[in-house]
Amino acid sequence: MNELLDVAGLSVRFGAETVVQGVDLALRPGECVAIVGESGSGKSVTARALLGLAGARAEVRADRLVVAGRDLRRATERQWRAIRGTEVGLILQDALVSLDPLRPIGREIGDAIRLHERGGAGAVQARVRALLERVAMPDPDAAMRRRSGELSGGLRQRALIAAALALNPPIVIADEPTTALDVSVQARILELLAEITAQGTALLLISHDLAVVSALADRVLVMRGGRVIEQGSTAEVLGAPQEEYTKRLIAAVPDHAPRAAQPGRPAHPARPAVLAVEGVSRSFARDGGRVQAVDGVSLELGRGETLGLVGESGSGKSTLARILLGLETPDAGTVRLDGEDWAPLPERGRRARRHRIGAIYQDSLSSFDPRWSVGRILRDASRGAGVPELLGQVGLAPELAARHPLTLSGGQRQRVSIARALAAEPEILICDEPVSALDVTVQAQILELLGRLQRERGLSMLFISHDLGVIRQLSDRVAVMQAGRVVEQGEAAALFARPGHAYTAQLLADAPRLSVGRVR
Amino acid sequence: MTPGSASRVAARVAGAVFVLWAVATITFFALRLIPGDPALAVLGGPGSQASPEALEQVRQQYGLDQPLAVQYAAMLGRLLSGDLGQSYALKVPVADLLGAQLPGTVLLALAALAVAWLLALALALVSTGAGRVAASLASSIELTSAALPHFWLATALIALFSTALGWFPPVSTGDLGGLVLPVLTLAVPLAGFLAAVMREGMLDALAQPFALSARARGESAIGVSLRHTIRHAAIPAVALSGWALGTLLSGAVVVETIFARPGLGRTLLQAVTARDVPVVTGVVLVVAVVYVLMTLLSDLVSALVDPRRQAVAA
Amino acid sequence: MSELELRTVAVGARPRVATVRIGTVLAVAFALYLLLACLVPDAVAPQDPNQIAPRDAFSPPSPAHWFGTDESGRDVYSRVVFGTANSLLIGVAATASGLTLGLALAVLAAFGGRVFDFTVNRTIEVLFAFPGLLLALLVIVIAGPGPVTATLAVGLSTAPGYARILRGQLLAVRRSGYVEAARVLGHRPRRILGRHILPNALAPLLVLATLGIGQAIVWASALSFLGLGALPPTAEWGAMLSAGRPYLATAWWLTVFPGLMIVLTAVASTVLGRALTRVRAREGATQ
Repeated sequence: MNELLDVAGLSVRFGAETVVQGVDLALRPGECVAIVGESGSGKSVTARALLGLAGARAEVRADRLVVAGRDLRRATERQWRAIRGTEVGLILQDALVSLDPLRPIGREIGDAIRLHERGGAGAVQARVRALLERVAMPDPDAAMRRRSGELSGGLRQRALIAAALALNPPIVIADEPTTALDVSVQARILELLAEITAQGTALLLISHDLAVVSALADRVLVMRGGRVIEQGSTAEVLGAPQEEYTKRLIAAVPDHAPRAAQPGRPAHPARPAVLAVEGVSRSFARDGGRVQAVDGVSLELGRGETLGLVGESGSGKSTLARILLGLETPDAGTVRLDGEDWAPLPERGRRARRHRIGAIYQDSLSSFDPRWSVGRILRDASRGAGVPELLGQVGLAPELAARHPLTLSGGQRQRVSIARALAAEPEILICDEPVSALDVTVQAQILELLGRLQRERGLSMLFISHDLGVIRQLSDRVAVMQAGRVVEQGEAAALFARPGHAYTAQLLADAPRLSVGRVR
Repeated sequence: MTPGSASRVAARVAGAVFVLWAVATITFFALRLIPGDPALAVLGGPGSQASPEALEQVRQQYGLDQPLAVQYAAMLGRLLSGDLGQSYALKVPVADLLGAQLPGTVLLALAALAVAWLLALALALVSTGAGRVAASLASSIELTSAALPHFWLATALIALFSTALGWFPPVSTGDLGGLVLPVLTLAVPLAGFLAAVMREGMLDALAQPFALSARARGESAIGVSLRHTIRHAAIPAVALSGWALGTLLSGAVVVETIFARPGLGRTLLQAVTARDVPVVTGVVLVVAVVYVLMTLLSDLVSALVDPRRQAVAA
Repeated sequence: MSELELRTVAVGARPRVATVRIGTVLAVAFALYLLLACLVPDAVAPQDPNQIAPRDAFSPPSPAHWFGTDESGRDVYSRVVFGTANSLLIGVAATASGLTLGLALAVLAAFGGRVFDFTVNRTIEVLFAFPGLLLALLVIVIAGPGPVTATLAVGLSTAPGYARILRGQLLAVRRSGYVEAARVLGHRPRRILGRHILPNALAPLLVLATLGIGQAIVWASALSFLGLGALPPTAEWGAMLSAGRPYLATAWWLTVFPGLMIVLTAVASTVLGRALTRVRAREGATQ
């Protein structure tokens, strides 16, 4: 038996609530096993239970719980500590908060060594340096003295991986290791993780992202409601799923096939454009200098079309959205709505026409007055339609009118947000990352709803996202933003098939995708 | 030091100077609102039946016959040379009077601040991660001690430790034993506040993923507290220390009066009762200077504890 | 930062178990008792607070006199009960004046444009350099001692703290996502102010007031204790403390019990303030 991890019948309870039930799990050297599931599936708790870190209130039981040859069913805190770091390393999401922001990363990584081994400060330092080299950290000597906040997202994630690898543990658990990262950075981190498994380390990958999983995992466990509902080799589970839920999960992954061409729709925006952006720029003061958030952007949104705007974090796409919504004034350039001036313009000149542009935000909860019920929110926005009618349009029951948004699920909240935008009877809808915070199956439903409403009402839609798959699924045309500029725009299918700009090509190459045969 | 940080330091110092100027100005003009003739106050108040000649002489001596603007300018000029004027009641230079009282009060306040920090740290360390009963007990202790008024705590401590047990003198003598009860009186309520702030900070830090990362490296629960969370918890508490010293100086009014301990606070109370304007002005200014210096210092320490702040604070 | 800000910090947004706590129950019971003592002191107090009995002077606490008697043989408990109305009135009036002034400053800063915001901020900063009771003492030097002056003086000392909290609140709400969403819908500024900004920014006023009353009573009694506020023979807790001070070594009950009422009131006000914060948080979660 050469299993590094051998778990059977693992269950975790918090008081009366069972969050993990009957999980079996095995992991061999050099193997990558992935646990996938949506929020609340119990995947993270499972991972933490393997380190004895499920929490003080957690009640963990198992028929078998063998980690690196040790039975840990009745392990004391001291025994757990002996395996943490030495036998099992843990990598969490976003190192900005997963490494102590007050301490240099060199000390954080060195802690793992100092806690388990004796050695002079010089020896520890040399090993930390070697670890940083192993994770391909540029200029490791300087990096050691930096704190996580002073490094970019990708570099600090490398530092976090170095900390987990410090004592060369045979098992590494990675809990959503790339979730907070831009696609290009994510691609590099996934390469690094693949390299580590190739060197013989066993990787337990926890992720919500099937594309990430398909890139790394040998075997997959699908969790839902605390149970493993399906498992097998990655090819089996993703290629020929048996369970209905797994099929839904896979079908929900945004399509990389472009939207079917709609009859009678021109490939170029209908002229005159309903929203015309010309040479718009906006900069902000930051750290004594100025940051050019939007830099000479020109775009046209044709009537009835969906324009996808894609870019990584900091590319200026949200600032552009705020300018279009009249929440931010451009330093230069103009925006025209149906041929009339829209920005820059004094607020007074815009207000009467504001209802023509609706908005849907990523964090819908903070866009609702915390004292108001769903009904009140919709009544306040409505230009005639009644609350039940508005709720019906977005597929919500009228009873929800009395509820407070806090008590709704993420998907329901986003539906309320859409209903509010529609209540003002807009012609244009500006959606800024509307599905980024949602689980993949919910995301698919919201995208379907948005697509349907757009078609039925002939809305002109600007859809902003970092996710190429989402953009591709919904857009007629696509514009790509990088560092404040639109580097390329064009008809969606053509742009994805033959990217004209190197940055677009790189984005497409880096985007993880389900690499196993698709099932429809 | 980069040019940016140099200009930020300059801005902080300019801000401090502005606050001191504003305090001096407000105090000067506010105290002119006192009804009655200041010269009469110098000569012992309305009951003194001072002669017009004597009043005239006092007016000249204190510059009270000059226009208000001239008096204000003269006051600012004297302040710059460290002259705080003459006490109406005691007829001695205010600077000398306060110079003699300042060390005792500063010693009292700093000792109280140190004790409060120790008590708060101990309470926060013991109560975090020690279960729910301990947490709610700690919370009750914090809440109650924070609500204790100085005057009541002082009388209760005297009743217990002086009258009943006889461990410490009820009147503050010069030695260390006499310092215990006044310091405790000031320290306990402050410790309640600081402990509440620190405990909240520690719980927040413990909930952060870096605490989990540290545990996953094999760090013990206590190790996480000592190496990580305590530093996060100290950040707000350090930032509060400027404010805390200010309240301690204000608390000294009550404590020094009860324990009959010479100091700024007792001098202030006597001056308030006697409406001795120069002494009141002097104490207010000295307290403002100490407060402003302490705020600058706590900003500096904050930047040491939290290097992320350096860009902003320094 | 003021003591009050500290309290609101310490209250925290950490949602804990939504059970009624024993502390809250005790605090509510004590508040009801105080209310009774204010409204119908005769029903609560066993004796006439001014009835002197020289033979019973300085008797220690006993079943007949729960809190003992003072130098004239008056029942200390009855005097404490009859002092409740005065003490609470001072606390409420001081808090009301402090909050009003603080609110005025905050509104000026948040809506008066850059110049006002700058001026108000500097003013608050300067007022913080008169820490604790210092500002109150300054007012008393000018206006002379007395209960009314002391009340206003305490109100003024608390105003900068209130101003800072409320200004922060107004600005946070004005920059919030829901105010932006209302602007995007094309609603008029007045409607946004009336429907979103004011109701949300001023929602914590009740909590602030509850937390502040205890603080104000403590400060006002400190002034009375120093002989600068309400004076003996008024039945007011601070004044009673002050009157009992000369007898501290022989008759501790003269100072300890009125002081205990102040402490309990302050604790109850904090506990109730925290409970209100929790209720508000929970209402937000389950409305």
